[in-house]
Amino acid sequence: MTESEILYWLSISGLTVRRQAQIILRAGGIKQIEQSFCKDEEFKKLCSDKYPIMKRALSSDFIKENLRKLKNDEINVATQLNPLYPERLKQSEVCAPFAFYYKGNLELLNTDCIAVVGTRSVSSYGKRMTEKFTQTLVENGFTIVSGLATGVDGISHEVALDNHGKTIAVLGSGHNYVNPVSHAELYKRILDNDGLIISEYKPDVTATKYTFPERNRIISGISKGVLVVEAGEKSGALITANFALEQGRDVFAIPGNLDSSRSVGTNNLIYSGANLVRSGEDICAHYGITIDKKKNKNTNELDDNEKTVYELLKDETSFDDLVEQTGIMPQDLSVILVKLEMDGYIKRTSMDNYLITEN
Amino acid sequence: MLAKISSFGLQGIKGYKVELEIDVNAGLPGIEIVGLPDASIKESKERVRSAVKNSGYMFPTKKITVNFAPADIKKEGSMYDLPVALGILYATEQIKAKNIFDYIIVGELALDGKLRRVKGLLPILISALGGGYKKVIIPSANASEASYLSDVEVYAFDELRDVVEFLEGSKMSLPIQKRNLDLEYHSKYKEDLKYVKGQYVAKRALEIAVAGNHNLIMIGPPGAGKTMLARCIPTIMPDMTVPEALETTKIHSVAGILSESDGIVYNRPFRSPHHTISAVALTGGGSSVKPGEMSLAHNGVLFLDELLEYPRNVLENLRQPLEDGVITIARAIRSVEYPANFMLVSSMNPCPCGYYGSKTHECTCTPVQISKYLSKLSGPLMDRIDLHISVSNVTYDDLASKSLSEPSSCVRERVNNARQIQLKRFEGSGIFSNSKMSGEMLKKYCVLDTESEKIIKDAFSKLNLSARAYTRILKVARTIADLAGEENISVNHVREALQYRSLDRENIR
Repeated sequence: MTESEILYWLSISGLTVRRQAQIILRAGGIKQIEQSFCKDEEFKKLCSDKYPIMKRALSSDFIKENLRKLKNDEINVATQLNPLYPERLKQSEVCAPFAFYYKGNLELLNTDCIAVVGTRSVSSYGKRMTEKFTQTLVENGFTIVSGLATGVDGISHEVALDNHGKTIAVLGSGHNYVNPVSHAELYKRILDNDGLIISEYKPDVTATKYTFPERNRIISGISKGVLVVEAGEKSGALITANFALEQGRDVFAIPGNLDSSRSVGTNNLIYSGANLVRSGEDICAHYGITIDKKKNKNTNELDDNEKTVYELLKDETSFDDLVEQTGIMPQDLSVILVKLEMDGYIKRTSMDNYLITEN
Repeated sequence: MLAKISSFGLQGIKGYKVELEIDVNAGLPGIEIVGLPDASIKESKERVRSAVKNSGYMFPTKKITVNFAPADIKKEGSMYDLPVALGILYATEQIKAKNIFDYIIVGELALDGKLRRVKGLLPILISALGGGYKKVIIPSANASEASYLSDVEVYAFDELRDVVEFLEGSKMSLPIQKRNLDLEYHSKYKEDLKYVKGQYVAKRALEIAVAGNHNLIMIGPPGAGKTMLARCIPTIMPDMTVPEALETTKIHSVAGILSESDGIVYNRPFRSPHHTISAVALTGGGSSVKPGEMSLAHNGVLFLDELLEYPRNVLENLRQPLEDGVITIARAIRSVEYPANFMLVSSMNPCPCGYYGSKTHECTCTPVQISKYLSKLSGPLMDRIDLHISVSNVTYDDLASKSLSEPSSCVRERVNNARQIQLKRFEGSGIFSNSKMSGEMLKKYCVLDTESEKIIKDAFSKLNLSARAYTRILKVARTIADLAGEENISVNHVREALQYRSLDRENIR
């Protein structure tokens, strides 16, 4: 067997990454594993309950058969020996898998990656922030990494693709059981748009409550920095932030209202020293990329009433408040708001509130 | 001896002639009723017997056969007591007057011979008139109801004895006095828009809705005031026209809820059944095929608070009336059609916890939960709702302010003016409001200038509107123009109409 085949074979034997590392250490190297297998009694003990399976599988036919099955499912394998396997992932803090399964453009692992993570039950504020930040990051050449989950993850992937950007999804399951089921379309969309989807789990492994936190270390592992958009007090996104710290990556957090339960986690992160960011530009600036100041839309074509309304809408305001503050009749105000909305000056943020758009 | 008395029965809100044949012959004493009588008619034997005896007349100890013709239609109701009693009296020659055959006679009898109120008298009278019958005898409890029809002589009495004496000529009685139908607004409601603080969009939308009879849904968190706003609707609805009032009265009469003193429904009905209502109670039905809430709301408003709490099957029943303005209740033997042309007003929360978009409370729902919740509103139902507005919580400052808002009376005046324009526009075409315009009428009355056309076209892409929304927006724009007293629809009317399409624009991923 070749070296890479051995590494792959270790993975499919159902050993944790730590155990695999111990085995390699004990054998003295990857190439020596096959030999140690036959000769070393201690070695056999080390493999313990997995020994029978490993022995049975110790044939290049077995490997070839597995690889053929994968090819059928269009899943590729990259072991640590693959030149594109990111160096950053090989740090000991990450405990990176010796082999992972992927579909799509593996080259993306070599680009500048920023992870965008957050709560699954995102609020409309969180949704807006995810969209805003992701768009800026993509416009400045970053690849967006996330976990394909509902909430912040899904939105960041979608927005990246909407803006013709690159995105990598790290699964918390095998490729054949994508979680959540509602993101099957998104999975396809990522691949159709030259994205990358990776998983350290065998294709038929389903997601469990252990696999999600486990895969978070990979999300931060392949990225330069992690942006936490919105996270509750016990959110999984905070696990990713923790891994990022251990791995020496940058952690960025977006502040939220103090009475919003979904911002407790992010606000705590900021308090504990994470970088408070006000826009995608702040993240870019952190990496030395400066951008021109954004300009608000030109308001020359608006009449007086429309200008007044536009100015007030620099802060999110409700319809009733606008009536009170401007004294414009409700029906006339409706006309103004619809006009401003259709001409792209403002947008509706929820059922009753409005806000100016930015260029 | 054989007596033939003319009476009338009801199928839905249409009356039909029933000829009662009463035959008294030798045989075992008893009354045999034939002609498909229902339970209450079978029971009338006892009422008739006691009433006749207690009025001082003799009840024959012979075989009495009563036939209700036509024999193949099921007879229902208690209005046949009086004609049966009179027929028996005639057949036993206790009444000699032949003029008994000139009248249509209806009335329920109490055991002491007094006459009781009959349900559905107005439709009976209207059908009788239509059939060429000009003289009618009714219980005096029904007199007010009968007082609005001209061209028909209606005689009202308190008891059986009075009827007999009138027919025999021993007692004079004048037909009831005709009254003029005064449909001016009779204020019996305590609510008023002046007590509603803030809520400018909602108030404006309500004005447009009642002016043009457009269906409306209010979306907002609990406690925002949706129910309160809905309760103000009766205070701003336009006056009914005479034909509308008569139609509505017919239905309320058949249902037995017509006010005895008024005898007519003056104001547009406002029905708000609770969401635990059964499908039958909403549509109408039951063994005696009574009208349901939808028909009782005919020419008025049906308010369904917390729309998504109603069972799906109940909501599905809304489709036929919203489309055709009638509800058909089918039975094995026959089907009955009741009018059900109402303005639908409903309310709902924006998400399961109720607080999505609220500035005061945090929404604890996930986007998946929200879109699942909103999808409970079926497409076909949503398509028939012209105005969607959001109603949010009012801040404390607004609530506590002592200043009053515009009172209902001002709004009602504008609404009436707009409605007058529509009545004139649609004269002779059978419809009374913009919401009922057909495709042809839209082409005629809702011509758009190029700028307005462009706005709508843009709206379809920029604001994510559906094609079905197009006719809705046109109709609403027409009403907005009418409220402004303008003949042509202009750009601003269209823009405002676009404001009221909240639900079309919800794009939750």
